[in-house]
Amino acid sequence: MGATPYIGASIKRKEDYRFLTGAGNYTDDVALPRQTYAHFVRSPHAHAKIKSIKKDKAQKAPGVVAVFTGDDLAGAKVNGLPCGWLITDVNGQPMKEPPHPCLAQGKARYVGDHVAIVIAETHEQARDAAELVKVDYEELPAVVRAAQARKKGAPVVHDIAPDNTCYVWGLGDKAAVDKAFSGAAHVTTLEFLNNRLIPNAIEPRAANATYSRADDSYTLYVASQNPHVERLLMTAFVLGLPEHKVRVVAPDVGGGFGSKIYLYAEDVVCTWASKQINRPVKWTADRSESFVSDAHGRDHVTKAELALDRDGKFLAMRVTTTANMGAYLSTFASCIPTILYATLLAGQYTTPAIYAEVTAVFTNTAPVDAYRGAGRPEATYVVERLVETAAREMKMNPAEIRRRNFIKSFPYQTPVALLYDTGNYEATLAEALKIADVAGFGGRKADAARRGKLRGLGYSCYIEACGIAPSNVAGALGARAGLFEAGEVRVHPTGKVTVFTGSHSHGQGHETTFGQVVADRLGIPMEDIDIVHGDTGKILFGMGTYGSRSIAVGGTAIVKAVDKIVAKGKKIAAHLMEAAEADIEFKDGAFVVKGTDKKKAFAEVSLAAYVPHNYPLDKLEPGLNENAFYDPANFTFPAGSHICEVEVDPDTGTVRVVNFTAVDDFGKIINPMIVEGQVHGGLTQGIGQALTEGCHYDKDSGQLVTGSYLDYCMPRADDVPNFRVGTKETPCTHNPLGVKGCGEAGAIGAPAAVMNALSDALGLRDIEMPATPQRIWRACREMKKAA
Amino acid sequence: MYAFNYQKVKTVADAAKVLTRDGDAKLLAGGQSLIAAMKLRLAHPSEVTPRSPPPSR
Repeated sequence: MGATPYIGASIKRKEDYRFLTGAGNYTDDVALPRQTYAHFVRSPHAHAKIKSIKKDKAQKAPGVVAVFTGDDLAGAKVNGLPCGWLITDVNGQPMKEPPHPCLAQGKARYVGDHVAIVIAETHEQARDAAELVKVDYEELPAVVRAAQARKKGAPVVHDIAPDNTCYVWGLGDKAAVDKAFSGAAHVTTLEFLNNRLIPNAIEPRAANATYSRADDSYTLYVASQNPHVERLLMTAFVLGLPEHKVRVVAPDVGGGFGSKIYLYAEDVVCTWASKQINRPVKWTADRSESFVSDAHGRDHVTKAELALDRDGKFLAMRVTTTANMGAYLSTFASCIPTILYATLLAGQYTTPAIYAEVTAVFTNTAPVDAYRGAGRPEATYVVERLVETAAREMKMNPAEIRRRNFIKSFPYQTPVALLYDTGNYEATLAEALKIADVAGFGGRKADAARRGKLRGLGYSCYIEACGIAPSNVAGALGARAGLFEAGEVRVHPTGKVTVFTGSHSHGQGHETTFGQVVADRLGIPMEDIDIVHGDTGKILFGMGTYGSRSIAVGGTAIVKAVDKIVAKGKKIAAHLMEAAEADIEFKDGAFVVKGTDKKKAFAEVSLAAYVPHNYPLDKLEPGLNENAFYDPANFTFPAGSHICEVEVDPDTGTVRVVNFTAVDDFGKIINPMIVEGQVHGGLTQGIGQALTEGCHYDKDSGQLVTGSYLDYCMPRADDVPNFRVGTKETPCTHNPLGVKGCGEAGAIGAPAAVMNALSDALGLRDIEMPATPQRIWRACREMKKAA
Repeated sequence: MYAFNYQKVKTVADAAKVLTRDGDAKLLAGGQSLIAAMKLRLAHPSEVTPRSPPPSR
């Protein structure tokens, strides 16, 4: 690497100028000639037979261009939405994959299920006309909660799964676990729900599709985290279109948190309809629509047990989870509570035997898929609630019990499939203890008690697996896609550089971070580099952004392409300076003949490549443009220690997070400011899950009760403290940047830390998330009664 | 939100006239409840009249 000041510098985000001055270009900003507007007719019932749909009145309403239903799609042979990961159950059978039609066929299976599309000259006209589409529903009983889905006599969501079971899946050595439990000195058992969350990106989902008769091609603008995957799934599996005839553009996207990874029905229907009416079709979800129709997150029911010896060493862990898939399998739904959950149950510890059994069930609720952390927050919650509870039961210091069980030598093969390459868990915990002033907690607790308040302290030492890989291993585990990333570095004749990445930025700041990486590597100013993403028409390929993979996988692909540029540049420079290629080194943005003062600047070599008058044309092609694909050898394993301190007012049940410390090991850090921002956002989402956010469906009717901001409580700035953050750098061993990823860590670690602190404050074993003032007040009252 | 007419009035008498002429008309005062209900298509007034104090005559 050069001596440039780019790696490790808190450079202000390049993209913020356009965002802060209103110059961003989001899908809804895209206005096309002869634009039409779509509105979707959605099921008001959780479960209903569709006896008939009368669309004639709507078709005659002012401004209406077209109305399409499931029958129209079936007639045109439009397939349903595919699931991208095949899980094989404990008996070796494939999971149940019920059809997921883009517009309902015969039945609606959750409130918000897409039933028809109305297209009109204006959005208001489409919306008004949608109310004239007469759907004759016959209401059916609904099953809502995961715990009810497999009960005898429960309503059946899909005929192909009469017991509402998608799969029963297991991981680990069950016999070894059972044996360890039978000889354990102590067993800690917890049963809890991991609450369902509704993602709330600031930009709702949107799509604007247009068809060109001139060359029989489509362009879809869509708020997506991975446009190439969207195109691949839509063309190859759903619409049967030639892939090269569809361009998918995901322009500026205002947040995703996982909810924009998936191929959604609305995207497909708008694309298909644009050809039917030969006009562009735009749909933008309103907030109420987002609540009912975006893929939700979490929703597990779990029983977890930890076996320990007399000294607090972990002997074995047994976890039984029922995961709610919702009414249909969303794109990656099946791998979240399995591959991304059970594999993380070793946490930071040497637990020698672990067995997890996961049952995925269908219910009459919105589909559930990856949401910031995706399986890993659920796993961390299991491990860290168990560990802390065990420490309290055995009267051990919660930091000490963790230290006693930390993995200390690497690489480390866990009993649940993962191979951790590196880590230093004692270092992050020691730093967190210091920053959080745990030594002074006793004094603060006593002071709070004098004021009639209850203080508690809770830990969470999380691990996550980012940059899911390699493709062949994932393929053997059921992945139906590759997990590499692609990058292209285009050097222009003047030495300016455009970088194309298959990663997608929807708030992460890639234009800055990736720019820093390339500037460092090429020794040229960041101003000379632009990062382009989000357009299948410009970028060779991409798997997009999810699972904190962008810098580790996408960044590495770019580095590989940059290295090819430098290698070719050396050949050109050797020719220009009449030196041997082996004698050329690339340093500080120039090609230098070793041991001499002879050098050629990067821009001089670029120019020679495009104006090849003095150039080895017999041996080398002109031009300076390289691409690279990178398929990682392993996951990366960011880890860290969170310590949360809460204060409860037992009279009102309100809880205040008074201190929150997060010390994370993300490996090498490119831009500390951006990383800290990611941590703040993740922690806030984690605290939201613990204290405020809970998606609630009425257990009988299946109506979404928390369908607006009046009922669904997003955390606000005054719900969180000034975070105290620190980092430790243990570089990843298998990518050239040494990076691990930081996007999800906060949301993964925080819920367990908050709930451990809260249960400490209240002196309770457990309290359900979200721990709202009402729940806490009730718990306090129960305890008073019992005392 | 459903389409509606926004009726600006100069006097209390004019406001009263709008309200008596059209039973579905609503007075807008701040809008904290009405606008939210309209956005969710829970309220469907035909006319909305601001309730800011009209200039006295």
